[in-house]
Amino acid sequence: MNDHQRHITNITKGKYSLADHNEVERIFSEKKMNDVTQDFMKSHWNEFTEEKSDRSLEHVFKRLVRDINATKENKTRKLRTTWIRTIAAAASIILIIGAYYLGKEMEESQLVSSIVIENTDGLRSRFTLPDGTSGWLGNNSVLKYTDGFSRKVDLDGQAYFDVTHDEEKTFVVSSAVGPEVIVHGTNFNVNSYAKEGSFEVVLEDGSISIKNKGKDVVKMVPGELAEYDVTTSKFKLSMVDVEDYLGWKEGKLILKDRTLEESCALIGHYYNIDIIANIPQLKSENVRLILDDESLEETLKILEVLFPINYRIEDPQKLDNGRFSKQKVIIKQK
Amino acid sequence: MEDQKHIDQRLLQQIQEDNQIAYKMLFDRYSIRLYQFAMKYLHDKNEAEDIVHEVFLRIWEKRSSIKSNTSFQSYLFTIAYNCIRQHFLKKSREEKYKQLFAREFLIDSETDDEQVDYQEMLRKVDSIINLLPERRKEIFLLSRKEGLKNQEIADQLGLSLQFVKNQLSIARKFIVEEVKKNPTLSSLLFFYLFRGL
Repeated sequence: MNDHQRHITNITKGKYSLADHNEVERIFSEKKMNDVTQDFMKSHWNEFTEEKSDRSLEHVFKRLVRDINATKENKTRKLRTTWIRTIAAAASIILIIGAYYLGKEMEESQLVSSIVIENTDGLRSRFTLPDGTSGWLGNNSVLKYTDGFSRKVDLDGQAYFDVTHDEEKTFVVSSAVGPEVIVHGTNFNVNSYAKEGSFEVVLEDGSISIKNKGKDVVKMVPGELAEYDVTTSKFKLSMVDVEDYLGWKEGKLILKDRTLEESCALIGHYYNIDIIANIPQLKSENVRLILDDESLEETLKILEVLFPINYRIEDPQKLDNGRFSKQKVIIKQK
Repeated sequence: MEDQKHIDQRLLQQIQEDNQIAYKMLFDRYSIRLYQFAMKYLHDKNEAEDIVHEVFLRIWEKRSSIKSNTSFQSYLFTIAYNCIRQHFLKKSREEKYKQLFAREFLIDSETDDEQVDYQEMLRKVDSIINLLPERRKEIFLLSRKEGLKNQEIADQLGLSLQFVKNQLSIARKFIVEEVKKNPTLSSLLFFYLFRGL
């Protein structure tokens, strides 16, 4: 370490001498910093790893917006409100990552159920089952069980379960996709939409096992994500940040480790719309995004910023039966 | 790494088209890092926030001339560095009188600058000056900090030149006495840790 670097290092440590101060003052006064010193400071700049910081700089951003608006000429009122609105929209965004759905149509499961909890309107709802098990049912999801409840439910869609403990009787979640979750008393999330052929389980705590085609295939530990690949009938296990998979209960959509194609499907569920994504070259692009109270349009704008895409929103069409089709969004590569 | 550059470029292109969502995203990507970098050199939360503010204001103002094919991170570092050093120099200028004060009253000629804890020195000088009664302190600071001539101080405060001179002389004597009476005022200045390292 040369003298310059020693003085600079002392300054950055926060405990420094009068000599350090005066020397750094001299270095900073020079019109052009020498390359070695510049590289040294750049190493401080680069050593920053995106560690979590609880410090929010939102107020600094607000000040920026104020200053920018104040200096902008010919600023219309409309533009100004755009600013404020877009800020709210972008406030909870993080960037990029992903895996993707196969988009395969699955057969309807053969159910003999008489009690159905269904969310078709794009909302999520809380449910409680006869044995005291409670949870949340996600958008466009259906939970069914037979009358005379025997701790067996069928799920098409997404649900979070807080299962009551019963040593005598295991709790079973079956999916139209195939695999079943066998539970002993635990919190976990299942995401299995039949029409997408997807099956994902995240275990928050407790222990569960997954059965497929009658055989025990996976035992999960808390914090694990099990993803089922319908083409190979194999499971992939990984440790994840459980919260990322549970945010939907609070109405958030957390996209992390997701491809753009997969994200489009999830965004579709979230807003209860059909998204048609024609993005052959971009489908495996990584997405990292947290949506909270953004409108659909705001979300699409964010995607447009991140990826070279265009979108078009089609209004719902009146169907023959007098009902309306879902709103449709068409996403195209630029 | 390449991904990151790619995102930066994409955001910059959008910012050049006045897209404010992209601007906010860029802010979210780099503001904390910038803040922490500034804190390393300035050790003051408000100043570090000012750096973040200045740098991003600059990015917005210069958005049309930022070349998106060069590394945005290097560009950011360069503006950040320049802002930080300007702040450092400005603060240093404002503190210069404290350094002169310390050399006059607290640090003897034997003492090596390497042994003086800079921030401790600033605190010590402040606490001694704060011992002065209000009027005398005001006159003393106008003289030392603002560098006004005695006559200028007299004019500004509507006092006689002689009164100003007297007050400055009393202040000086008072400080010398205080330091003599209370050796911790000067002894604490030493940067004990340093030699051991």
